[in-house]
Formats: sequence, C-alpha cells, structure tokens
Amino acid sequence: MSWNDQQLIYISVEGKKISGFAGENLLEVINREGFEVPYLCHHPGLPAYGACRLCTIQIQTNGKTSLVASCTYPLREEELEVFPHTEEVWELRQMIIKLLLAQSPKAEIIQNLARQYRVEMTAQPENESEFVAGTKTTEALQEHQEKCILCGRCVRACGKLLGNNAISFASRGINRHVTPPLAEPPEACTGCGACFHVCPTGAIKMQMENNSLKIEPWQAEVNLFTCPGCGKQHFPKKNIQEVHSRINIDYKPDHDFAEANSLAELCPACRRKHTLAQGLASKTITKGMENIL
Amino acid sequence: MSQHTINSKEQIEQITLKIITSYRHLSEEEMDWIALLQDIQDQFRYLPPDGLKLCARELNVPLSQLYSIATFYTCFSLAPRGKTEIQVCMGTACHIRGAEPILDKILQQLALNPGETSPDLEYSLETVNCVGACARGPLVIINSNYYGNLTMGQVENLLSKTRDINGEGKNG
Ligand code: SF4
Ligand code: FES
Ligand code: FES
Repeated sequence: MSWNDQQLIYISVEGKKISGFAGENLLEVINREGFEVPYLCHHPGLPAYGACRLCTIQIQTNGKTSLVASCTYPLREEELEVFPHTEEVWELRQMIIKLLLAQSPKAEIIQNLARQYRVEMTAQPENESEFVAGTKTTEALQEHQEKCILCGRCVRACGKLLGNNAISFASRGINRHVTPPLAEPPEACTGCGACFHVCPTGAIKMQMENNSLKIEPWQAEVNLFTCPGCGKQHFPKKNIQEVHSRINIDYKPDHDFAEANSLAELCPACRRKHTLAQGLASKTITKGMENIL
Repeated sequence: MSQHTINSKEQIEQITLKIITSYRHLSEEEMDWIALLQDIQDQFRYLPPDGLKLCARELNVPLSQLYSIATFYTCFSLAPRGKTEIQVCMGTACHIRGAEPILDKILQQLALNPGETSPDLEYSLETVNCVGACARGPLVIINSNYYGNLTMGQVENLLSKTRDINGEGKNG
C-alpha cells in the first residue's frame, strides 16, 4: 500500500481536530502536532515496546475514559478524544520519573524530566554495587548501570532491526540488565553503533581507539577499515563486510582503489572526491557545482 | 544420568550434540528452547557455556537469546553446581515456622552463601520461595528429597546424613 492511499483518521486532542494514518501510533501523531508527550522506550525507527509507560495519556472512547500508553496505541477507526496532560496523567508520570530517578540517577535525560515534572530524588538503594549478581563490576559496567533504564532500545535495534542479536536482556527482577551473552565480548557485534545511537540515557559509550572501535560496556572491539584513498581509519571492517554480504556484492578486501567495484570502502571525504572526479570527467557535474558536493 | 565431574570442552560438545539431535526436526514454531536447556542442564547439572554456544551454532539461534532464557529462570545455572544441591525454603509459611535460624545453621555448617557452590563441587546452596509443602515447614530440599518439620537438632545431622546417602537416590 502506498503512502497516499492510506486511510486518514481524525481524532480530537484537547478539543483540537488532528489527523493521522490508520495504524500509526498515537504518540507520534499527537507529538507531530506539538503536544509534547514525553517518552523514553519509544523510537520512531524501532518496533513499539511499551516498557517505560512515560507516554501514558488519557483517552475517551465509547464514553469510557482510560489511561493508555500512547506509543503502543494504533490509530484506528473510532471516536477518539485524547487528553495528553491531565492531572491524573501528570501524577502518573511523576511516579514513573521518581522510580526512574532512583534507578538511574546519573542519566541526564531523567534528571531533566525530574526537573520538568518537579520530582525530587528519593533515598537510594544501599547495595548498588551488588546490582548484577555474579558478574564482576568494571568501571564501565558501573557507569552503565547508573544510567541504563532498561528501555530496551539498544536490544531492539541490535536484534529486531539489524538481526545481529549481539546483546539482550539477562536475568530478571532487580538483576535485569542488558549484556552481551555470557558477559563476554560479543562475537555477533559488527560495530555498527546502532545501540549507541538509540540509547536515550548515554549508558552506552562508543570510542575510536588506535585501529579499533570500542563499544562499552559490551566489551565490543572491532577493527576499522583503512580508507583505500587517504589511509584514514573509518568504518568498522565487520560492518562493511556485513553490508556487502547483505546486498550481495562480492567482497574482495584486497582489491585496489582504482578498480574498486564499490565505493563502500572509501571514507566519506574520499568518496565525495571520487564522485566529483567521476562527475567532472563524464560532464554530469559542471564546474561551479563542485562545492555543493 | 547426570555427570558428576567437570567435562572437557570436547565431551561437553559431544553430549550436547546428541541432545540437539532430538530437536533438529522441529520447526521454528514448534521449537521449545526451555526444554532443550532443561535437557542439557539435566545432563551436566548446569548449562556449560560451550554447550550453549554449540546450540546457537547448530540450531541457528542467537546466543544472546539462549543466554536470556538461561539467566531468566532460576532453575538454570551457568556455573557447575555441587553434587549435593540444598534448597532452603524461605517462603512465608516456612519463614514463620522458623526457616531463618535453620538457614543460618546451614550457612554456618557449609560456609557458603545462598547461590554459592563449594570449591570442591560438593555442595550448592540456594534459597527458594515456597515449594508448595507449607504444612511441612520449615523445609529443606536436598537433591530433590524433602525434609520437612525440621528442628534445629535435625539440621545438625542432616548434612552428614546426606553425605552418606548421597547418590543412592533414597527418598527422605
Ligand atoms: S543501554 Fe540505553 S538503550 Fe539500552 S536499555 Fe539501557 S537505557 Fe535503554
Ligand atoms: S514510550 Fe510508550 S511506554 Fe515507553
Ligand atoms: S513456604 Fe515453604 S513450602 Fe510453602
């Protein structure tokens, strides 16, 4: 089904009529209109999850009033009135933020929410360091635990989106945490960095170091590719191989720059230069256009 | 039959492979990962990481998924467990009937904390929450044998007694 034959649905938000497509989630539809419903576990590029409940709103349909998590509520044909910021909703969010703040006091996004919702820090659990039983606590792990809110964005990005499944949830209850399997450096990690980019709290660190890319606290370390053009280190090797194998290009790690059958190995800067040179040669790009590239 | 010694990587893989064989024909929907892990745990009395890795490779499942399951259920252990597995019920009924001092006594005798295994792999100690035999509390389970209505005096002898009957599969 193409974009323009999707069915439009009209709803009312605080008395204002707005529209969205059938099947779209309520959170995105109402935030598009500027209602600023807070959310943490939701990410537009990832499957809905409904873990944090921060996006809870009040709805009225068929004469019934209820509180629902808007990120997992698909737009459908029904009379729907939405109240994103009632007193009840506000109190619920305060409670959620209070708990999150106790769990992850170092996460900036939580601190900001706490300020916005006027939530104060409660007492801290005493035995924080024993948090993940049975694993040795490194500094990186400790820092991670003080920030991670278990929203599962990283797990969904790595598993559902990319199919790498290098990390997952482990244990349960107070010990639930995100980890590579067996708490060992994850073999399945390609170094794509998706987990790092979707994490709302900064609980994941990604760093270039010497010839490799490190992602903590997963203890992931992948080699970087050397740009055949300028010799600079850029994308992770495994990641490039992965892309090649998925789009079915024969991967020849040792072929030289001149006969490159794909531009994927070039660093972004060299790639632009290469495209420009080709364009100028074939006259698809004229002088003066080059600074656009 | 369960193994009472630590196996080499080769042994682990060989035995695990045999277990895997009976799951190979199952479709994705039919596959029961918990049952597979239970079979492996029955065999080794724990889930050897090398066995898990083999399952992931052979059955084409992410290792992270198996690890998630293995760490979610307390019946699975990723470290070798002792020959004698002791579970002390700390459920509400047993608690009221005096489980606390009994646990203390056992902790003292074994010099182990709940969740630990002695270095010689003789004992593993664990606390559990209600095993459905509340009327017989306080209650200790040793290698699946239930010892109910325990008094402090009985606890004293219990461990030495189990050392004697261990392996003979008698019911208490
Ligand atoms: S590491 Fe970040 S993305 Fe992953 S669960 Fe924790 S907070 Fe969410
Ligand atoms: S954003 Fe909706 S439940 Fe987390
Ligand atoms: S509380 Fe111990 S068996 Fe129920």
